Parts: sequence; structure tokens; C-alpha cells
Amino acid sequence: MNGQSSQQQPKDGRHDDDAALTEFLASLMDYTPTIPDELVEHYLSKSGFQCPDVRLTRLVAVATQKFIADVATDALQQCKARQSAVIKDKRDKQQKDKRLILTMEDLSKALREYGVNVKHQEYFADSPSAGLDAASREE
Amino acid sequence: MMGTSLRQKQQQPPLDGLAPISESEFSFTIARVAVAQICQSVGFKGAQNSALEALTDITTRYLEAIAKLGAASCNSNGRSQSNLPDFIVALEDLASIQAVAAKRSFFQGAKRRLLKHKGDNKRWYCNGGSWRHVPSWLPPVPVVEEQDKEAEGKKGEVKWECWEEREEEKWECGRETVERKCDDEILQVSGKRGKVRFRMGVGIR
Repeated sequence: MNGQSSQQQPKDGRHDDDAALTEFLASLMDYTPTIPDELVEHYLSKSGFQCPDVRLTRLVAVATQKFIADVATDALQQCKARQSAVIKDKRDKQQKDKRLILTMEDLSKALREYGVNVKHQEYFADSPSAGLDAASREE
Repeated sequence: MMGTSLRQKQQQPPLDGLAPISESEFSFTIARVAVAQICQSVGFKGAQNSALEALTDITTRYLEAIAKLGAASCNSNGRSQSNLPDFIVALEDLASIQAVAAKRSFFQGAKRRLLKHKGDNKRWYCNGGSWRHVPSWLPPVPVVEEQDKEAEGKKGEVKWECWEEREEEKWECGRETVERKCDDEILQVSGKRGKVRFRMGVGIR
């Protein structure tokens, strides 16, 4: 049962679920997803997902776009929460609000809820004893 | 004159300052542009380079994961071209909750079409081309009474109509009991089929 056979259904009141899905698939052709069709097709065919139906390709693009938008929204909320936690005078805060930047810190916090572990090195040291007290260093 | 100038052109690099990039880098760069546009639509005004590249990597992996799961689902059903249920199954496997509602509505429609032919098997092959794959000697869909409450009490066995409401919770354990129940309720086969006789040991000399 693919999208083609669901289009042959008569649109009764009982078939509103089916009709809603059919209408949604039809409306996909009006909306162009941000991710281009050719790019999606490239990655789909790379993994063996053959589909002659362009609506299904667009559906994949929309699903991916939604996923990335969710992650980005969570990162944005992390960024705003961090900005509001910093107590400064109003002028500085307004200047910061104009500069919402996607940082690794916010992204890793947002991605943790999706099961993706992105950890950034806190700092890099050039030797194992760097940063230790002079008393504990063996010289 | 023309020959020497052509040879000089071929010896030069294709574009000044730009080395040829591999195919995966090319698609990655295009994906990065798309991801940056999505971030901009969400509200970001800028992004760190490493953060954008990490998000783009996740995007490509997500696309490949959907493709791999969808292809596996369609191959396990004996098809080579994927379709909408395969995609929904793939989304479900990736634990995207929104897919469950879509799957339920899709299978409700499919089941409704099937139950429309309850008790009447002549429609199998008369209904245009959509049912011609069903053999005419198959029995019709059994007419079962609407006793949902009774079905609930029988050790977790569910009737076929209540199947999809409990599908998400009891997909694995409910399936076997449902199949057994359907076997009990199949009516007599309508339409005579010819008798088949076997003689053993005919080919042995």
C-alpha cells in the first residue's frame, strides 16, 4: 500500500484520516523544503532507499528539517537561558540579545536529549604536568 | 598557436586557488548551507564554525539512518522500492514520536478499506484493479461481533478490530494471539475447489 493507492479512496467522512494524509502529501508539492531535493535523493540512494515518488523524498526532507529545527530550537533556548542568567545592566543585555550565536556548548546540551553525545575538550595542555602546582611537580 | 594555448590551459589548475574536492565534501558543503538556513529560520543570527559542522554531520547521519531503516523495512517485506509505510517504520525506529500518529492513521485507512468487504468475497476480484491480487477462492473477511470489553478480559488477547488501538503497547506479544484467534473464526471456504490426489512413490523404479 503506497501513497498512490491511498489516493484512489473516495473521501467520505469515515476516511478523514486517509484524506488528511493524502492532502498532506499533495500539499508537499507546494512547499519547498529547505533541504534541496537532489541532496536528499543523493543521501537516500547512497543507503539504498529507492523511491520514484518525489513526494516521499520531500517528506523525508521535511522530517529531517523538523528534526534539525527541533535541535536548533532547543539550542536557542539554552542560549537564551544562559543570557538571562547573566545579571548585567540593561544596555549590555540588549546588545547580547542581538547576537544569538549557535555555540558548541548549547548544541551539546541540546543534543544530549536526542541521544547524541557531542563533547568538546575543555582545554588542551602541552604536557601532563601543565597547570599543576610547583610543589607537586617532579623536577 | 591555438594548440599551445590549449595545452597551457590544461596544465593550469581548473580554478585559481580552489583544489578539486571529493564528492562527499561537496554534498556536505551543500548540506551545511541548508542547515545554516534552518538555524537562521529558528532565530539564530550566527553560528560557530565547529557547531555548524557538527550539526551538518548529524543531518547527514540522520538522512542516512532514515534511508537505511526504510530500505531494510522494504527489503524485509520482499520489495525493492520503498513506500510510505517503510518511511513511517523508519521514523518509528528512530524514536520520532510523531511517526506513531501518522502510522496509526495510515493503517486505520487501510484496515477500513479491508473491512469494507466483510462477508462478501465476490468483491475481491470485482472491485476494479485494486483487489485483483487477492485470489477469488479466499474466504471473506469474517464478521465478528463488536464486543470490545469481552476481548479485553481474555488474558490480554485482543480481537482484530481492537488491534490497532493496542498496537503500540502489545505489538510483539499480541500479534501471535491475534493470529491464533483469526484462525478459529475463519468460515467455510465459499466456492468449490477441485480435489487434489497424490500418489506416492510413482517416480521410484
